[in-house]
Amino acid sequence: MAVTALPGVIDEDLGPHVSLAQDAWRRFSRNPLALVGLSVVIILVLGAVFAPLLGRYDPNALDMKLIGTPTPPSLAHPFGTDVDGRDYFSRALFGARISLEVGFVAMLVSISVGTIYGSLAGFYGGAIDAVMMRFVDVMLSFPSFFLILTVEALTNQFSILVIMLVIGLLSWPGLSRLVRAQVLSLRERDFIVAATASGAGDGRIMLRHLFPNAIAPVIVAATLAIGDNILTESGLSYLGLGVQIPTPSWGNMLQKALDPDTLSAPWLIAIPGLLILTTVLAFNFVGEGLRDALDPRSKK
Amino acid sequence: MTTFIARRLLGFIPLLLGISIVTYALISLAPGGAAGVLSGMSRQSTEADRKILLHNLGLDRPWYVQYFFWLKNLVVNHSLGTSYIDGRPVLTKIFEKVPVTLEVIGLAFACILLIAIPIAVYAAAHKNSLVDHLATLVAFIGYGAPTFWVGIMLLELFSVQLRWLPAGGLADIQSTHFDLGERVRHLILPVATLTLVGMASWMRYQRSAMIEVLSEDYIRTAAAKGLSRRTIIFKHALRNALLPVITLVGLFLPALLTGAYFVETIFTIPGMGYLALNAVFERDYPVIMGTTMLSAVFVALGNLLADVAYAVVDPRIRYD
Repeated sequence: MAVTALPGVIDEDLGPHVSLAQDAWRRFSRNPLALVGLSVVIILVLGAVFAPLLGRYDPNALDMKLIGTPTPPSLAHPFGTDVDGRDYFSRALFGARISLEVGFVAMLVSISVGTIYGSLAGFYGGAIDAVMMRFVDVMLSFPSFFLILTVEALTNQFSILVIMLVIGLLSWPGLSRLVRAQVLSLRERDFIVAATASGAGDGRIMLRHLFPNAIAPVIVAATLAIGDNILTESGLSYLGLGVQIPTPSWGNMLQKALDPDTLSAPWLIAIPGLLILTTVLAFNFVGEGLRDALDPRSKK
Repeated sequence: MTTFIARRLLGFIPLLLGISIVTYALISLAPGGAAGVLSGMSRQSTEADRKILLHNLGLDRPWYVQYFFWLKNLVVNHSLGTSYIDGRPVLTKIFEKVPVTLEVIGLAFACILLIAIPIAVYAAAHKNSLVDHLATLVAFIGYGAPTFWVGIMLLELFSVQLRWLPAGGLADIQSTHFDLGERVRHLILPVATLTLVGMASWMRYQRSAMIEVLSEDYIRTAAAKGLSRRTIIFKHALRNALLPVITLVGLFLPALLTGAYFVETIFTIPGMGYLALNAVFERDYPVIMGTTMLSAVFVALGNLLADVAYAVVDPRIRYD
């Protein structure tokens, strides 16, 4: 009987059932750089979460005996102490908290806005799309960092929440373009036409049919955005327009980098920068690993 | 081609209008805006004085009215207004600073191309060689490190520790006249910072474009008919591999400009970035508008340049 034989044939061809997530993980775990990136991210997140346990000192506590001259790394202070006699290791740990928080929350903001904006433009097309995308063109004509910096400086509000919002709300246009392109190419596919024909409304089509199919590049962009946001935050904080001292962030640990005291203590400059570099690279490796894992067709 | 450029330049008008509206709205609507301008006033000034000042600056009107007057002034008088801080015309202030920034960016861009392309080509032709791995390492650093940190590290190493190069400015303090050697020594660190950071993305893209081209059939054909490896790489592969990378110029300029802002701050170079950052700190709205508009124009021109270069390199592309 041909009908009963058919499922057997399919099973034989496909082998055991593998879900998309399992399949992606299999490809991801074969990529050494991606695994290194993921390990670094995990270590950083653990370090940030358990900062109060790992750091032996209060990050803001001044050691009166050490004030004035930075001390080089030692057993008591693995990263040394800064000009104000604060333990640099504790500051770096608590700085990881701030930097990762800002990177992550700003990413959530920009991904949400960018995805909704891009889906709407791509789904409705025509004049709506044209107007929405001209606005994106305008936004992309600014060097985005400078725009973020200007708004942040004029707002003159440096709470971490405001910084996250400003970074997130001004860095979504690139992503919306990506989502729009995805939606445009999906919109004409047969399964969307079938859904429309069977009476599904706009909302249902977008949420049930377009979204799950357009999500892979968004996940990749989200991972890369965390790294970019950490870079942006560090730049803002370096200029004094981001996280405010004494709260430590990797960027504002470099704020006094050009002071003569700090220039005589190279480790104070090297450590925060290396932490930013490592973190940004780790998120980039994970992001590129995800790109290869989620889209088997993509070539490196 | 001429019609294409003309059409694109015409397209700039709505784009720049959009940019100016967005900028004006953003800086006017940012909370704490006008109050900041007044913070520079002396403490004795009365409420009436403040009102008069706000009125004279036009800051008591809604932002779109202010924008309209800004635009009218630009169209009718070809003026971007005057600085709140020293009363000088914004355009004059900007054009004093532009050459310095263009010098830094131009030199960095030339260095990036001269260094990144040959290395990327070599790395692509010798995959997994020492050069390839070293290039990847440098690219990673440039990719993940903040520009300002790279600048500070170079300054720390070559200026503070080794004392080889000056730490900032464009000339020695005691110098009385322009000296080319002096200028070059002062520009090495800033340009090196931008080059190191900018090289990263350029090298990565160029390398992967080159690797892709090298696996094409026509490369195998060229090898089969006995052409030397040199001819294949430079005449057959590189020309085609440059193509996708050229579009990068447009994306690249904003990053380079942002980098220049940091570099000018660190190495105290009196350029656009220096002017723009000071304007932001001093809430000098007309100057902020001017510098933001100029950087947007710069980016738009970069995109146009990329499209034109694209057509020049690839004769198959016709815009008209």
